[in-house]
Formats: sequence, C-alpha cells, structure tokens
Amino acid sequence: MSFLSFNFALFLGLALLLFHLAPARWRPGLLLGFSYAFYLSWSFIYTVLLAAVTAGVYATALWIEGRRTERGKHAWMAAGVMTLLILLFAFKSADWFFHEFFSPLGRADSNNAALVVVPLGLSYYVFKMVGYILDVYWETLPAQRNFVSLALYGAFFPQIVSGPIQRAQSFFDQIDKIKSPDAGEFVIGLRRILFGLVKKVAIADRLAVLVENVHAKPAGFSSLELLVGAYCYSIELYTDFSAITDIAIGIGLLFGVKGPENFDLPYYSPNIQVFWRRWHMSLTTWLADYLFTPLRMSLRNLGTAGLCLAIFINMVAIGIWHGQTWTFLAFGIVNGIFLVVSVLTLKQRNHFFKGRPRLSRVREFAAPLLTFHLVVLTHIFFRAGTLDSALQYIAGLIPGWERSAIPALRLDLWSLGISAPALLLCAGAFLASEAVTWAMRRQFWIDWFRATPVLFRRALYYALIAAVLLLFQGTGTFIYAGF
Amino acid sequence: MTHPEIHQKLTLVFRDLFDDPTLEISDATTAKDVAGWDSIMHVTLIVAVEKAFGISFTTKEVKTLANVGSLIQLIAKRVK
Amino acid sequence: MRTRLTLWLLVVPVVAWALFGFLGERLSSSLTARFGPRIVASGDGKFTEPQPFVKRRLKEFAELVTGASLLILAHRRVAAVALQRLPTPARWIAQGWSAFICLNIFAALAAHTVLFWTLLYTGKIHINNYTQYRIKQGLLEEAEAPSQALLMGASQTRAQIDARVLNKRLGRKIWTTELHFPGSSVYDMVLCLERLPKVRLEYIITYFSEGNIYGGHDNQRVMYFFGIRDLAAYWTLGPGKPGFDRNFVSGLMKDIFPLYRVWGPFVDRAQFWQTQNLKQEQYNASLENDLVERAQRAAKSYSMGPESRFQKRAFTTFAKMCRERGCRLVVCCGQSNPILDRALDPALRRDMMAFLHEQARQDTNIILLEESQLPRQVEGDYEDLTHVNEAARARFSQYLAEALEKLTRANSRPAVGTSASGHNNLKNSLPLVDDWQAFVGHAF
Repeated sequence: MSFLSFNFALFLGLALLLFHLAPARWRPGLLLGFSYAFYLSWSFIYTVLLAAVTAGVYATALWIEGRRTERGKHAWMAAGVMTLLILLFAFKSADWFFHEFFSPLGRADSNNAALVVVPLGLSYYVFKMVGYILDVYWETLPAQRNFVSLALYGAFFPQIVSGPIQRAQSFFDQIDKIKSPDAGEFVIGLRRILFGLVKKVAIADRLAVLVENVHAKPAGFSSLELLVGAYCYSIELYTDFSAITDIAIGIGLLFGVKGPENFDLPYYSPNIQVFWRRWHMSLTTWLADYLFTPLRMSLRNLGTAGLCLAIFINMVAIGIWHGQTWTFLAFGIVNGIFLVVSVLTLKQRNHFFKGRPRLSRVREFAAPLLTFHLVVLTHIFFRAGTLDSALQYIAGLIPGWERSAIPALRLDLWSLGISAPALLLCAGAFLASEAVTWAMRRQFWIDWFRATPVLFRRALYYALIAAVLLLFQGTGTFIYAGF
Repeated sequence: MTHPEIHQKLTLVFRDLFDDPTLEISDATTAKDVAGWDSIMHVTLIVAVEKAFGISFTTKEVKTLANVGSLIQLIAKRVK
Repeated sequence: MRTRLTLWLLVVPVVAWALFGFLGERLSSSLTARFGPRIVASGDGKFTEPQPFVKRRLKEFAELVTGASLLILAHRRVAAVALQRLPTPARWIAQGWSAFICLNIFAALAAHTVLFWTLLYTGKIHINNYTQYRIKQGLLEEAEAPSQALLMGASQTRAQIDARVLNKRLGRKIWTTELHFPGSSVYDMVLCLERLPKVRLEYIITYFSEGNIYGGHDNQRVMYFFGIRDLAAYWTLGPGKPGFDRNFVSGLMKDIFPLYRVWGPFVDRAQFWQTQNLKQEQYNASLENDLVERAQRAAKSYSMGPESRFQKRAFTTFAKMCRERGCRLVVCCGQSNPILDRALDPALRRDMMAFLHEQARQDTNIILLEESQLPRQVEGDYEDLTHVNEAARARFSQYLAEALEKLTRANSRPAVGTSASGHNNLKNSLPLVDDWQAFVGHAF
C-alpha cells in the first residue's frame, strides 16, 4: 500500500480508531499487529522473513548480554551482524548476479527482470537491527526483553517503507508514550502529514515528468535545458524524500512515536561536509556511528590516509546502499572525492578567510551556492539509468562540448514536458515549503502560528487538503520506497 | 594525573584541533556545543587525545562517551 | 448557534420538497422555454423531451438536498456524543469516521441520480468513461418509449452504430441507448448487464469481431463493474478466467465504499482545468501511423486458448441473461479493418463463426446478422484498426435500423425460446405491444 492511496487511508483510519479506543496496555501489541498486517498486504513470505529476523536478533542480543567473556560477546555480535548484512546484500544484488552470470543475454532480456523482489523496507529494518545489536554489544543499551517492543521497533509501519531509521534507544524510550499518546502531538502529526502530502503532490510529482523526459534522452536537449533538468531533479528528490519522511514522522506521531528528522535545510550548507550532516540524517548518522567511527578507529594509525580511506568507504557505502549499479557506485565515489578534498582543506580554507572579512561575506553567499551545484552534479549520477547516460548528460551541460544542432541556450518548455504556469507553481510552492520548514523549527513562528485565529488555520488546512486532492495524479510511488 | 591537570591538557588539545585559542570546555560540554565537532572531527579528536596522553582507547569506550566529563574520566582511568 | 443550524438543516429539505411539489412543473417549463434547445443539444440524442428531463433533475436535486441535510444532522449528533464521551484524540478519530461514513452514504445516494453524474461530466474530449456510462445507464429509466434496445460491447460497437439513427427510425416504439464501455470483453459485458436497471428491453445489440473473444483480457473494466455480488460466481468461472488482482479488489472496495467509486470521476472533473496533458499529446504524436505494422503486432496478441474458451462461456452466460430478461440478443458478426483481418489467423474467424452459429442454433433468442448481410467495409472506411469513420458509421446504422424494423415487424409471432427447464415457456414470448392485440385475437 502506497501512503498515497485510498486503501492506506482506510487502513490508517481503522488502525487509529482501534488503537485509540483500546485500553492502554494493549496498544503496543495492537500497533505491532497493524504493522504486520500492513506488511502482509504486500507479501506473506517476506512477512515470515521479517518475523524470523526479529526473532533471531532478539535471541542474539540476549546471548550477547549473557556471555561473560569478551570473545563470546564478540562472536555473537559478529555472527548476528554478518548474517544481517549478508541477507541485505544477497537480496539487493540477487538480480544483478543473475543477470551478470546466468543470463547470457544480459539486461536486455526483460523477461527476467526483477526475478527476486527485494523485501519491502529490507534496508531499513536490517540497519535498525544491526544498530540494535551493536548497541547491546557496546553496552550503550540493555538487551530488550520484551519481544513485542523489539518486533514493533523493526516492523513499525510508518517507518518501514522508507525510514527514517530510528535508533533503538530512542524508540524504546517512547514505548510508554504509545500507551498514552498526547493529543497535542496528534495535531502536530496531522499537520506534518499534510505538509508532506502538499510537497509530494504540488512539487515532486510535477517535476517528475520534466526530469523523466530529460534523463530519457539527454542528447535531445540544450545545455540550459539540461541545467534546468538537473536543478529540478535535485528539488524533486529533496521534496519527494522529505515528503515521505514528513508523512512517516507524522503518522508516527499519531500513535505517540516521534521519529528522527532526515533533513535540515540541506541545500544551504556551506560545504559538503555540512551537507552530509543535513541530508538523510538518519542514514548518515547511522553510518557515522556504526560504520565510520569503528572503521576510523581501526584505521587511525594510518593518519591522514586512514581518514581519507574511512571517508571514502563511508561514501561508497552510502552509494551502494541505494543500489548495486555503476551509477550509484559513481555517486558514492564522486561524493567521496568531494568530501575528502573538503575535509583535508577545510582548516586551510578557514584560515584563508579569517583574515579577509570582505571575502568572508562573499563566502557566506558563494559557499552554499557552490555546494549546491556540487550536489546537483552528484545527483545526475544518482538519477541516470546508466553510467554512459550520466556522462552524456554532464557532457551536454557544457555548451559546445557535444556537437549538437540545438542552441545551447534554448529553453523549450514543451519538449521538457511542463507548462510555464506549472513550473512557476512548483517554484513558488518550493520556496513556500522551504520557508515553512525553516519556520517550523523556530519557536517564535510556532507561537505565531498557534496564535492565529482558528478559522484562518482551519481554512488553510481545508484549502491545502483540497489542493492535494485536486492536484494528485499518478500512482503515488515515492523514490525512496525503492531503496 | 589529577582531574584539573587532565582538563588543562585537554583544553589545549581542543584549542589546537578546532583552531580556536579562546575555546573553553567544561564537564558538560558535548559535540553540539562546539562548532565543527562532527563525527569526522570526533575520531580525529580521539586520535589527538590518545597521542597527547600516550594512551589508546577501544571503540566500545569511545562509543559510550556522552560529554567531555566522561572523556576526562576515561582518560584518568587509562593514564593510571 | 447549534440549534439554529439544526433547525435550518431540518427546514431546508422540507422547503425543497415543497418548492418542487408546487413549483416543479412551472419551474421546469420556464427553464425549458429559456434553455430547451441548448439542453437537448447537450444531451446529444440521449433524450428528446427537455421538460421531463429538467423536472426529474429538479426532483433529484430535492432528493440530494434532503439526503445531505439528514446526513449532516446525523454527523453532528455523532460528533456531539463523541465530544461528551471520548477524550482527545479519540474524539477526533471518531468524528473523522463519522464524516467518512456520511460521505459514503451521500455518495451512494448521489450515484443513483443522473444529476450527480451530469455535474461530473468532463466533455467529449477528456472523457471519463465511467461518468458517461452512468449518465446513460441512469437515463434508461426515463425513456418514454414502451420498450428499449441497448447497444453493448466495446468501443467498436459505438464506432459502428449510431444510436441517433436508430432512434430516428424506431424511437417511438423502441428507444435505443448506446451503453458501450471501451475495451470490454464478453466477461465485462456480463458484469455490465447484471447491474442494469429493470427496464423493458427488446433487443441487446452488439457488434462482434475476433477481438472480443480472442483478443485477451485486461482487467481494467473489472474495477468498475465487479462487485460483491459477483464474488461467489467468480470462483466457479473455470479455467481461463482473469486472475484475481488489484482491479478486482478495487471493484470490491468500490462496492463497499461508494465514495471510492465516485472518487475517480470527481477528481477528473476537478482537475478538468488541467486540459493540457502534455505527456499524452506527446505520446499520441509519437504513435506510429503505419497500420500494417500495428496490425502485425496486434495480431500476435490474439490467440485461442483457455482465455478464449472462458470468453465463450461468458458469451453463453450473456445470452442466457438476455433470455431471462426477455430480450433478444442481436449479434452483428462483424469485421475489423481489412488490414487487421488479413494479419489474423483465418482459423480464428472460422472458430468464432462456428461458435456463434452453434449458439444461435441452440438458443433461438440469439439473432445473428451474418457478415454477408452486413454492409461491406473497406480500408478506406476505417480510422484505425477497429474503428470506422463517420460515413461508414452512418451507412451501417441505416442498415441496422432497417434490419431492426424488419425484425420487429416479423416479430408478430411470439418468439418461443427454450428456457432452462426445457419446455416452451410463454413467459419468454416477446410480442410487441402493438401486436399483442393481434396475438390475443389469434388465440381466441
């Protein structure tokens, strides 16, 4: 069930009704039941897999805690983590393996497409479980004795589709809140869901057509059009992903669970390091805590080379997590290079600008702009179907590089697939949503909003709901639901 | 080494690492309070601390550090 | 404030009915005087008299207003109870559910009126097939003629036969409504026939070609016409039946939640301002115009197998349903564009004709109009592989009108069909109203 479907709305309504009318101590169990029902609606066999993984992790954590010796603990931890990662890797690359080794016709043989379907949310729940095991091993968290709590952590339906990846500690702390959710948070959750829906329907889905056209045939577009297409994709990716995060967090709040944030206005970051601290935060902090830090610790004797290697591996992991294709690998590598260069030169750059106050002011504007463009470049790899088309796209961006009959500065909206009013609507909606995102975190604006007349707020909500219903087209699939 | 001695030496390490000669740290300081202290910097900091005090930590110990105060306690335990 | 609103909600429907009762006639005649020709023109041959049409729409308006008022009252009552009994947020959830259920009930009421569907009409260019279908189905109950005929089938039936021509010839005795649904296979036609209102039908006419039986079946119609009542029968359909997929679930959901049924058409109407669907236009522009190649590709998808056998069983069911309704099934054994006909395996045609002949032999309720009887159509008559142009359509419709007239006159003898129990059942006899006296006269 996609979040944007009638069936899901019905499911959610039913779940909310039963949840809030049930006695408090039943609620976690009921929520677990709903989560499994949600997963079952997708596939029976993979629900069994999810349950099996949860049972395995439950036992492993208890055994880790039970061992007296460091070696024993380490052994169980390694076994658990390795099994989970192999499971993840196996499913995600099964398709690729089959095509590379068993199908001599290669990818062109579309009859064999998607022989193995990756279980829904596998990446997300495997990471949750690996994090949990490591937390128990490092003794930052006691092993969870309540099976329902652990199972709910893994299967929590708002988060299983595309995250955010919540930490075990943060989730378990909120189990009591599930038993008696707060009405204020309920309203915040509803607002969050509405916000996500508006972003998805008004911006992301509109830009998707344009981006699809441009990436399908980069040779048919001018440099300016390719540039516009690249900008639009970065905006589409951001609004699409932040929308599903908003919806996921919002739904969680309806049941009393606050999930971690994924975005913190990333496109205004002064450098690429900061960007990765503000983009897909739940994944990057997870990788920082569970991959980067241990890796860096073990490589620390290699000095700077160790640092660069650790950063590189981390970035490539992020790329590959999205998919085992050359384009995602390239995405990881390019990001790795940018990040290494940035980290190694940061101190010198800061030193350079310290003595030049006027240049520092320019830096305040130029740095986020430059960073944004670097990110847009990496997103070309992210979106492209093949490495060739990515490189072709980038070559096309440079006016005069490709010998093309199309003038470099042509901007033909019809061939891009969007009308001028629609593009302006998207731009306006995007600016508005960024402003709201910025204001949402500031108490002053929160208070201001709460102080506006009830009628105004009600009218605004109904207008936005109407806009979502009127603008909704297409299938309602999200980009990050595929990862 | 005593607590204030460790604190003094640690402050020097911080100041050098974050390029801020006026930086002050207390037992309650965490990563959020210091600009530029992210996960990359965190491990660099640990490496610098290890070098300055001639000790070494395990990943497990590094994981459990909540603030500067717990870092100082860990250093004190190691230096002994 | 609360009680004032309640009062209004009780008063408004009473006023609406009073107005209708006293002023309905006058209002409808004045509207007809002002807008009569425009109303008939917009109806495009679906009805001839504007005044009864307008009057019935006014009645439906009163019904909808009443329904809305009562539902709002009910919802307010539930909301008040929830306010007293439940804490937040449970209270809001209960109120949300109440609103949802009331909307569903209203959608069910509205879907039974023609007024609602005409408000959702999006015009001839950006057609919503289901909206159109519901309007026509709703108008079945308002036809003035003593009996009716239906044109059922896929878009080929509509392209081939113009109901207006038939109505010009026969409209006073038999009113013809075109009730096709694009893409229908025979199974889809069975589902449609089940849901028809109980009106007096004389003929059901369909234009058949190989595509109906051998063209495969995609489940898109199912989501509109499959319902709970079809679920039991589904399991006994036998091999070759369509797989139970999302479209079936969608159909069931639309039965259970009437709001879901009207949702698609409603959104289409609301998004009507987005007339420029650029992607669609680009796609249309890129469709290759080479009919021969398209015919080759299409021909590959036609096959004899479990699916075609399933469609044949569906045809038998369809014929049986026609007999039970007391109407005759007229099957035009038609053709497609000769380009496509040449690309198809001739065995398909032989098989289809053999099947249809066998059916007609066993069930005299079925009337076959053989290909040799039908006007011959050449490549120049076709706009694409299956749809003819206006000139050919007019020609064919004239022919069909004449054929029906002859049939109706020849029908002075009651048609005796074998019913399931096997003996001649006078209930199955179908004299025309004018000839009934003659028949009775003969018997005594």
